Amino acid sequence: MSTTFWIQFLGIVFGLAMMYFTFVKFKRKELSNFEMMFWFAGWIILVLVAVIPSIIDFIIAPLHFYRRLDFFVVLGFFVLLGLGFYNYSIVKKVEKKIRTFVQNEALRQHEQEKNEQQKQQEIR
Amino acid sequence: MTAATLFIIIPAHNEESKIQDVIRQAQEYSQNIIVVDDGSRDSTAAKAKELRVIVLRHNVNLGKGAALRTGCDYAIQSGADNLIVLDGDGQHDPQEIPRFLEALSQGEIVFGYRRKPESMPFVLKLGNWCINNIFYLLFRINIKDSQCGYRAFTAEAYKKVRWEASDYYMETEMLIKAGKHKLSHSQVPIETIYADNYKGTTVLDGVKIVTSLFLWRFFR
Repeated sequence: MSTTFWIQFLGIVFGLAMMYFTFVKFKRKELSNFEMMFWFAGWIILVLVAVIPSIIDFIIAPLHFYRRLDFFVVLGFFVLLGLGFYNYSIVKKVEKKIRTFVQNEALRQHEQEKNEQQKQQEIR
Repeated sequence: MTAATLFIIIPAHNEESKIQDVIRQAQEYSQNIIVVDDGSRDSTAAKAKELRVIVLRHNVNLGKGAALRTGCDYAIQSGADNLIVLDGDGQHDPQEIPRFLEALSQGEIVFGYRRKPESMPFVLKLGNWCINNIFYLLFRINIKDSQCGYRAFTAEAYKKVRWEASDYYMETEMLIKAGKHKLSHSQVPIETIYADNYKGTTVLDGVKIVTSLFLWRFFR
């Protein structure tokens, strides 16, 4: 068996496994219809490219990559860097929201306690 | 002329064994004490409440910078003229508050600096030395101890140095902003008591502080 076969084989197994995980997430209602379809489309493209790699030659040829695999490695880096940046910005945004929420909540709780104490004093 | 209203802000995280001592000593100098319980899992907040001080409680641990900001914001809303911040773990001696107030009467912001005690862990000594020197090289602000958390400032100064950082970087950010706004400052030597070698700033915090210093210097 050639190296290419094993790369194709692993690509297909990985794509199918990810389809399964995506479907499970969808059934658990952790993904919306649109998100499920988006990720499924991605995994289907991955499996298709793994089965028939020549279908993307029209992209690779003008870029003068020596091998198809080189193209995937470069593309993989770009995708990972993009996802890394996206995750970073999301984490920052969530961090800021949590911080604002917790700080406001601390002040709100204190005001509430103060008001309750005042009411009790008035009753006495 | 009325006396300036002093607020003492004490951030605390899991300090049930120390917080009452710190509060009792601080109460000798002001009745406006704010303890910010930063998501403690022990009875820090309950212990503080027993002494009838203002207790603000973060439901989750956000970090020292965030805790201090919550406390200082509340103090400003409550009409503070002067603010003193000190740690809730007993590391800072509240008996030194009068010296801070004296220095504050002649400036806008006062930074404490730790005399180098034998008890200071070696990693902290080395970390502080590195951060202080890098700080000086990058910003040309001569501060003896950029990481000391015992500080005093006026309400006006707080509005100018109000930090964004939620973690230990807040101390450095405050310094940079004080330098940027050219606030008149002084430095007061303090004794520091180290009871726990594993609390406070870690090596990882140090690396983060240095990285942030470079980012602040060249990209902001």
